[in-house]
Amino acid sequence: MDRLSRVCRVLLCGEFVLAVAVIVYAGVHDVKDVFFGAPAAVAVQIEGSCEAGDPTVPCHVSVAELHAARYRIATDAPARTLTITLGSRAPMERAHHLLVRVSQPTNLELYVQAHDGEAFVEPTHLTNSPGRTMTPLPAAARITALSFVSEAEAFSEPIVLDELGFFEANRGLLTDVRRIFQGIPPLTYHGTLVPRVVARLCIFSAIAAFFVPRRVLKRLLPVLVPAICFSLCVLDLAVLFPPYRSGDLRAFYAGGPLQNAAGSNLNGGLWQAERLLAGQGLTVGAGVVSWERMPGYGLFCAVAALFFGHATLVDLATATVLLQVIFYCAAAGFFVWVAGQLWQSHVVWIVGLLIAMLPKQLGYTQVDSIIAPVTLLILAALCIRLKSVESGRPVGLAVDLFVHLTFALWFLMRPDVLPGWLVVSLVLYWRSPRLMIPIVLAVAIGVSWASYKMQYTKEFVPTTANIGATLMCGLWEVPSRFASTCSDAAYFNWIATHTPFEPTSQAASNFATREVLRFWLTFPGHFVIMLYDKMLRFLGGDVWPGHATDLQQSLFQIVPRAPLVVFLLTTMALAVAAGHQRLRTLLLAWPLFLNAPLFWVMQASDGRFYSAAGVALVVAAVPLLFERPFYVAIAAQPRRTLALVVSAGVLAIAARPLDVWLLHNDAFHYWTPFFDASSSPWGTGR
Amino acid sequence: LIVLGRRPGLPFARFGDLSSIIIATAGLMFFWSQYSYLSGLSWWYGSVDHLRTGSAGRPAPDYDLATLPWKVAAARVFDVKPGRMTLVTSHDSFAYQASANIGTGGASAADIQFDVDVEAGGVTIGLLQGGQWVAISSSRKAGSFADWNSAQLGYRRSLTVVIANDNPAGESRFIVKSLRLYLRK
Repeated sequence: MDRLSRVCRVLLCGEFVLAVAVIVYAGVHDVKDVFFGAPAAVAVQIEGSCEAGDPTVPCHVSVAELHAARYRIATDAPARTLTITLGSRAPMERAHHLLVRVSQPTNLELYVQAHDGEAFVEPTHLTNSPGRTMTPLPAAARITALSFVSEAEAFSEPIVLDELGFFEANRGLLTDVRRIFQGIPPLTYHGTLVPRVVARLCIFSAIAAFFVPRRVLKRLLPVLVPAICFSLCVLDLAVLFPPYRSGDLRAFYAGGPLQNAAGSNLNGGLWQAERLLAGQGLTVGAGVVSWERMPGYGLFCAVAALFFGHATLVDLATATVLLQVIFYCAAAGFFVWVAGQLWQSHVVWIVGLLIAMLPKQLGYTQVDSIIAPVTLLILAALCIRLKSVESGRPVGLAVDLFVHLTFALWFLMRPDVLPGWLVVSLVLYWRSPRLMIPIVLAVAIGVSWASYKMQYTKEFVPTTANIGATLMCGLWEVPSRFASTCSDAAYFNWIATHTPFEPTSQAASNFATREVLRFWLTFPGHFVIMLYDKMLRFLGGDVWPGHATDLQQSLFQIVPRAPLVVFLLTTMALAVAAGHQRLRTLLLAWPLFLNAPLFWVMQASDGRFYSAAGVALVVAAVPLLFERPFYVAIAAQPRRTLALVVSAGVLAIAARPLDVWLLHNDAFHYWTPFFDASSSPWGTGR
Repeated sequence: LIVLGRRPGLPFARFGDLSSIIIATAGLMFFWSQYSYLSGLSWWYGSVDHLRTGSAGRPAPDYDLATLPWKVAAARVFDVKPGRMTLVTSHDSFAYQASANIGTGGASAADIQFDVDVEAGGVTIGLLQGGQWVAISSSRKAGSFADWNSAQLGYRRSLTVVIANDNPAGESRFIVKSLRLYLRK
């Protein structure tokens, strides 16, 4: 038995290594697809012209390079014809295939024009059905132009080609190049099969990790976890931005966020970085500084540009996504390295795996995408401090400085950290001079940003000027009879109607904040319902924001999100109630209590701001499950344990019916005990 | 098991060893099952793609509409003529209507190709081995329904071609214009 057991343990170590290797390989395989979208095309110079549907309207063509001679081409007016004229003929001799992805109109006819005028290729019918179309190009050197003729009857929309490129071979354009399982179509393979297999491998590795020698695993953690994290991030991005179907990351940015006005959600940071690097300041336009954002994310994008290039905004967007992925992985690696000092290595492995597997928002160039890794840095810093306290040594100044630098990093990105930072600092340093560290850091950042913005806005605003807007938006995120909606346009319109202030000013924000507070008092029922409904959505799974691919769904099919969240929260509550690692649990879970609830009163935006709470929930709760003293402690407090478990059960069973009942109880919802409803600027409801 | 295994003296002390044996074995099975599933799926996609794109040079089928030994299961009308099978199903929504059981002759894979005109309702055509579907194609739309399908065969020596009704509302009517079965060693 002993001998067999030893053999099996060695075998398990081998299986662990194999599982990790397969997981890493799966992600690395997709790197080119995700960040480049296609092999390099033949470098052909192109020029576009168009004929508008209405001949009296001028028509222009915009050409944006996605990557290496692959272009997005669009007319700026509803068009009948889009013509692409090719430059020198020499490179075209190498072109044998034309790649096109049509966005609109629904049907197009492609005509190939030769320099001798001969029609040597039959016209090709193209549609805007998802996916790329490959057209063989015989004797491409004869081609001088391509004409795309709309088959729409009314020519009511511009002609938009999401992708166009000339290629020597069609290898790697309609499906990825892989050595194994070549027959499986890319969408099925990457969208479903690989994520599911990888999720199962992750679960297996979590079990096998118990049999890997602790010392070895502890040494490997800071390498393996980032490697796996990188792989899983790339796998998720490959599912969300499939080059062979709806379009790769570059095509997504070129055709979507970069078409929006500068400063919108997914391009604000990119424009800030682009203008900063061009010497035009941290602005989103000439003389326009961001009113609703801190400066950190724009600087982050600038760093991405310096590291990975920014020849075009599409390149910059891709560089930013890449840096976000690297930052997430590096933060996860740093966290597990530090956490290895507090917990056993297989526990840290499981926590690291879960962090790597969580739904993420890394494909989106907005600050919310990097709050999770920033949180990991904060939690790692707190772990260092906890270890210091646990060992009985006085906490070094450098440790405390590091803790607050990580908090400051969040503040540089988003101001919502301030309440949590304040409370954590007071808990750690009540009546200690070290309380000055967070104060100095917060003031330094706030004053610097306010001073910088002042030259453009003439206002001194240390954080952002959108608190009123987000409070107002938060009101309309639960079903009600109030007719208002949540959008920048609605807020600007409302401010313009009711005040003489510039809608992006602090004065406007203050006015909106006062009106929202008055609204809460006017309709306390709506306020309670708003808090309760958003809390339930948070507990129901919004705590882990981001698009859940099959990688995560594989886990959530085993344990659905809501019961999992309630289970982990109950575990934490049991530890706190039983006095087991009370300070550690509360400290590591601070975003759950001191950050997430802010968005129950402010705009929650379908939970996209909650990522810090999601990470904290995993870090604070999961290790408890592997600690024997935890079970001893809760067994020693049977009444408290029973009360908490019963409470969690009642919450799980009754919470949703109560929410539905509240939402349908108009007498409570629109109850006005203190102020007359007609005095509300948002009316009395439909 | 792992936790108990670390408590020497307990009757479960050997459970740590036992768990390592169980999990190592389960791990091997897990890796094999994932690999064999993906390779089987890849083989199937590859086969079907090959069949759809390269059928011109294909040899004569091992069986066709006329040579398959059909047995009527539930069909109300079942009329086989050279190059044409007319079938009116029973009212049972998904019942087998006709089947043909053949020996595999040691073949490791089977490819089926068919061309059906669905006049009303829907049809399922597939291959059964040991009572389990190993290849299945269905259509619930009136009109032409032509497809290729492939299956890796198990150790059993027989294979059944099945035509079934696929109409939740009841009866279906269709004409099978061709059905070819290729056995691959």
